[in-house]
Amino acid sequence: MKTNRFLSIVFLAIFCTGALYYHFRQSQSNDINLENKALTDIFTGPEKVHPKLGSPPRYDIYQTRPDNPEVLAAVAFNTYDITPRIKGYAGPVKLLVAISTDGTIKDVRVLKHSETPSYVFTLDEFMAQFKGKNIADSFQLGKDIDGITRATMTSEAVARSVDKGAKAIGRQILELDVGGPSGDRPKTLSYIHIIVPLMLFIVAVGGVLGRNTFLRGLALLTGFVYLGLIKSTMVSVVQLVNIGMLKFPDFVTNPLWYCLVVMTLLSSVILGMVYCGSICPFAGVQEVLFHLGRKLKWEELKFSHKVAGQARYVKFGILFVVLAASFIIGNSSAANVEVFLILFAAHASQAGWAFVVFILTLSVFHFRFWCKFLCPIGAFNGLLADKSIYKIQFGPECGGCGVCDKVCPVGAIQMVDDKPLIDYPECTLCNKCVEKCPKEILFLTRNRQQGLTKHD
Amino acid sequence: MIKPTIKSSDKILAVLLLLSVLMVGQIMNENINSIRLAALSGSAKPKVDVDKVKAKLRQAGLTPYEAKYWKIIDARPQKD
Repeated sequence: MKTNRFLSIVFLAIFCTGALYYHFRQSQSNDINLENKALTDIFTGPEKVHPKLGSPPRYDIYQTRPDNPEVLAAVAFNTYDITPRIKGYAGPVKLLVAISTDGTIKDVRVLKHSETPSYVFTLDEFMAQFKGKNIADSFQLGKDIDGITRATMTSEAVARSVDKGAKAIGRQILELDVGGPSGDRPKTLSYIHIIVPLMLFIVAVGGVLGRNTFLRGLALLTGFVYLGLIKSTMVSVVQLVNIGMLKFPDFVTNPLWYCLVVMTLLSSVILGMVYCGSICPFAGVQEVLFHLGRKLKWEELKFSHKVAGQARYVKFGILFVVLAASFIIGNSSAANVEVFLILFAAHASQAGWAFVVFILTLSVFHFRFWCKFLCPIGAFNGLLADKSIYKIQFGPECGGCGVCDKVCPVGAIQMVDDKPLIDYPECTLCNKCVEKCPKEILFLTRNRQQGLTKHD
Repeated sequence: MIKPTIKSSDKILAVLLLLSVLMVGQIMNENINSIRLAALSGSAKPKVDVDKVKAKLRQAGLTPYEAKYWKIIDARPQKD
């Protein structure tokens, strides 16, 4: 209990200090430095770049000739200055676009973004499609511009902001006949992305409350198919950092983000690890792999209670480090280290793929290796679960038979002085202990506080 | 086959965790670098239709240089 309280305080300290530091730095700085760096990199010749000014704000780039007056050669602008409302998956994608006076796009550079790096590794290739295009051209995603696979929101935000920004500059500053921007798709709230996650949580909670293995399996399968394969959206530390940075996606285009975050937080505070235990797509994958290993009769890797208990703090270390790093560099992408994001995004560097293979292999030999020792968002959910309103608790009649300790697949129960000590941040609410208790005195009930917990 | 004892498997766990942490560190490092270099990565590289350019050059009576081969043999094309 004391250790969990200490970890909660450390988490709050890092989160609050980091968020304050980030916002303080944001208020002190702007994008000017990044814009200047990009401009210096694009205009390497004798061109003279005038300071940013005007409405819409832009940089005028003049060609300098020894005997002639300066001639306007190009215009550059930050897309965020013209289209601040266009957002990617996790906030605006700020780009510097340079346009020649004849309306040809000279270059497009990324200034800032909070998108998933594993997707954005291919951003260079994507950006190359704009270079050389005329601003009067159409920029429709899927038709004129090929999107980044599984990163439609990022691709669309980039295409729309380049299109709208360039056409506005072309019309107002370069006085070109460029027409209107390519038609935006009408924004409509997709109710399916509210209903499906809601149903998913209802099924998962039903499985926990009704001790129903079928419902738990159904929730895990649906989580795998819907969140993992179809949407590639999971609860992760990236979202936690984005909340600290107050970077929220548009609700109409991405209601799933809000549903997942709100329902995970609520379920963790009320019941405990519902998301980790019954919804997380990667948890399902790990459980299937582990059972496959047992079917094949491969030796299970078992660790002593003491060492495994200490090793669990590694995930808290990872959580604290990625949080601090993200706030310091001012970008949630630094927190994108979670193996499930790499797996389901299907975009990664060699190190990323090696890590996925490594963790999946370990999952065959040890039950939920990633969840137990490494998952940073699981560590955060665990801190919430430790304070949940309802908990699995045992009655005073407990004879200390130790059956619950033996059946717990995640090793969250340990017998001390013939009494089960439950480590709530590790309990995945699988209900195996409740089902197997011979005296039937383990049950999910309102937190009575008198029950012993680990670390007391 | 030797079955791992609890004690020896604890050592294995320490090694596995060390490896995992190193990999997480490497991934985080790559992410941070991708963010830092975003503005200066020379991001937008033109997609050139090489065959089209070559055809145009030939049409104009010029011989296109195969720059990549110069790179392979670590040499530079002669200037006209």
